[in-house]
Amino acid sequence: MQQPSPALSSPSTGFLGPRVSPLFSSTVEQSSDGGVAVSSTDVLRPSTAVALSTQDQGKQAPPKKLSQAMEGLQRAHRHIADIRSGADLLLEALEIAVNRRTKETPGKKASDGVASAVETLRNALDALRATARDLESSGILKGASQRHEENQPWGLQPPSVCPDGHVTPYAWKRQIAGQAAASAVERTRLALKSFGEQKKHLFLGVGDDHRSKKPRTGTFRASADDLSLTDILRKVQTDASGMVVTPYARLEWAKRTSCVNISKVATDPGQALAYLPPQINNAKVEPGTQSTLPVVDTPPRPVEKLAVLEVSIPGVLRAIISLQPTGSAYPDAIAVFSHDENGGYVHAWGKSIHKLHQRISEHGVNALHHFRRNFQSTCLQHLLHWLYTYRSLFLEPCKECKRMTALDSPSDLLLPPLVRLYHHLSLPQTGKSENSKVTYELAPYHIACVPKKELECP
Amino acid sequence: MPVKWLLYWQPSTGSTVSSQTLVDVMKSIESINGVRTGRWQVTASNHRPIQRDQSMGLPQDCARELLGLTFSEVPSKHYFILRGEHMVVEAHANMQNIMEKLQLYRNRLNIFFEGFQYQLGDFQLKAGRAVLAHSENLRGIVLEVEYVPVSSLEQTRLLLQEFVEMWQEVVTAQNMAGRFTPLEPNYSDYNLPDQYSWQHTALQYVNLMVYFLHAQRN
Repeated sequence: MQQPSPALSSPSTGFLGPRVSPLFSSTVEQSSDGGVAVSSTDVLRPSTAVALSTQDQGKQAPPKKLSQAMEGLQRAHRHIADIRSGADLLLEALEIAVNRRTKETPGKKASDGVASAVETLRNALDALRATARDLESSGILKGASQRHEENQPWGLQPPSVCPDGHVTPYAWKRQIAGQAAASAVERTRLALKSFGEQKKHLFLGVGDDHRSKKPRTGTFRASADDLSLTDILRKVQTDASGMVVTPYARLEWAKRTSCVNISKVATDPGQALAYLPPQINNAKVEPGTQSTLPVVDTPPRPVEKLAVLEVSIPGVLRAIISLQPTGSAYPDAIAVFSHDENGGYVHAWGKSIHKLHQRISEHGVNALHHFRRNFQSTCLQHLLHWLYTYRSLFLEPCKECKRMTALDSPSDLLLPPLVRLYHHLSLPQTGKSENSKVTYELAPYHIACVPKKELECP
Repeated sequence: MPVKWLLYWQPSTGSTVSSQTLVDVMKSIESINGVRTGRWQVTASNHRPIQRDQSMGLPQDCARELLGLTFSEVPSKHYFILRGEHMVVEAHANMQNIMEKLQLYRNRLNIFFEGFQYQLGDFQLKAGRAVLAHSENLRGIVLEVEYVPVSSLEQTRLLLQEFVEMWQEVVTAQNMAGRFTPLEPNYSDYNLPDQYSWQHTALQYVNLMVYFLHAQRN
C-alpha cells in the first residue's frame, strides 16, 4: 500500500500530486515498511487523511506549526509501534502461562510475565491517547469536539461529562442548577437562623426547660426573704383593690391575643388568682368548707411557666408585663394599652394605637429600668405599685397646673397628667397603716409640668 | 367603645344659626391642626302608629311614638328610643322595610345630621349641620367630641369638660356669636351602664332631634 511517489506522477496534475510532499511520503513509507497491522493502518489512515488536509493548510501555515504537527505524528507512530510490540509480548506471555500451567510449574512467574506485558501495553496505549489528545487540541487531528462543531455550527459545546458520571448537554445548565441549589440552601439556613433568634427574643423560655433557671443577668441573686411570684400576686389581690393582675404562660397569652376578644375587662381579682396553683399549706382554709375560688375554664398553671402578667385597671388602662426568666419575679418589659384594643400586637413589646398609652408605655419603660437598677429584688413590686397609682389618671388634675388636659407642644396632643414620678417611690409596709403622714400615691403631672427638682435622683 | 359628647350651637341673643357658622367651626378645627378624615351622617326619624280605625284606640302595649336612628358607621343596625317606656332598642337595619310593609307605623319626618369628621390626636371631632329631610332648612349646628382611648363615662367627664371649655375659647377667639352647649341625657333613666355604647349615642342624638324640633317651633 504504497503511496504513489511524486516522481511517478506529474508535478501539477497527479491524483495526490500537489498535496503530497516528499517529507510526508517518506514517513508513510517508513510505517508501511514496518509491516503495519490492520488496526494501526486504520489508525493511521484518518490521521493521514487529516494530515493531508492539514498539509493543504500546512503550506499556508507557519513552518513552526508544521514541524510541531510532524513531531506529534512521529510520536504517535512510535506509540503505535510500542503498542504493537506490547501486544506481541502479551500474546507471548499468555502462551507461556498456558504452557507452564499444563506442565504444572508454579504459575507465579507466568502471571508475573503476563502482568508486566499488560502493564507495558497499557502504558503504551495511554501514551498514544495523550498524544492524540495533544494533536486534537492543536487542531491537527480531527477529534470529537471538532466533529461536534462541524455538525452543530451554532456554537454549542459538546456534551460534558461531570465527575460523577452525569452527562449534561449544556455545562452552564448544571452550573446554574448547582448555584441555585446552593443559594436556596444558604437562604434557608439564614431564614432558620433569624427565626431562631426571633423566637428567643419573643418567646423567652419556650422550649428551654432543660436549661437551668438562673436569671439572665448575673447580678440578680434571689435571697431567701425575697417574695416569690405567687406571693406577690396574692399580696396584690389583698392590698390593691381596683387593680387586677392575671398571670399567663407566654404562648397562652400569644394565643389569647390572636384568637380571643380580650376586651372583656378582668375585674374580679379572685378569678385572676384562680389561675395560680392552690396553696397547699393554707391554714386559713378550714376542712370541710368549699373553696372560694371561682371555676375557670383552664386549669391552674404551674408557676414555672408563668411569664406574662396582665395588669388591668378597669376603665383606665391595661398593662402587659413580661417576666424573665419564666416563673420568677423579674420584669423584663412593659407596655400599656387601652381595654378596647385587640390583636396580636397586644404584648409587652407592642405599641398601642392611642397616643396617650404610647406615652405611658414609654414612661413605664423608664420606670422599669429605674427599678431594676435600684431595687433588684423588689423590682416587680415597685412596678406594680407604680401602675396602681394610675387609677387617678382621669380623675385628678395635674398638681402643677391644676388642669386635666394640657397641650403637649411638640406633638400638638392634648394629654391628661400621665407622669407619675418613680424616683422617690417607696413600697407600703405591712402593719404600718397608722402612719398617715406617708402617702404612697404619686402626684400626677403633665409631661411639660414636671418640676425640675423632682427629676433629680437621690 | 370611645366616649362621645354631643354639643350643639347656641347662638347668642339676637343672632341666628347660619351655614357660615359651620364653615367657621370647620376653619377653627383646622386651625388647631385637626386633620379631616371623612364624612359622617346620622339619620333620625320619627314614627307614629297608623290607626286604621279611628274609633278604636290604640292597643295598650303599642308604643305611641318611635324615634329611630341610623348611623353611617354602623349601617347594619337601627336603633329605637321609646321615651315613654324609657327603653333603647337595637334592631337590624331591615326594620324600616318591615315596618313599611306591615303598615303598622308611619314615618312622619326625618332629620339628617351630616358633615365632616376630624382627628386631633386622641380626640375625634364631627362637625355638621342638622337639616330636615326634603328641605334645605337648617335646624342647627352640631359638634360631636369623641375621646378614643377610654370607654368609661365617669372617667372621661373631667377631661371632656375641659376640652369643651378649651373649645369655647377657640370659638370666642374666632369672633363667633354663640357657644357650644353639651347635651347630656340622663343615661340612668334608660338603664344604660357606665360603659359607653351605641345606645348612648342613639339617646344623645334623639334628644338633640327633639330639641331642634321644639326650638324651631318656638
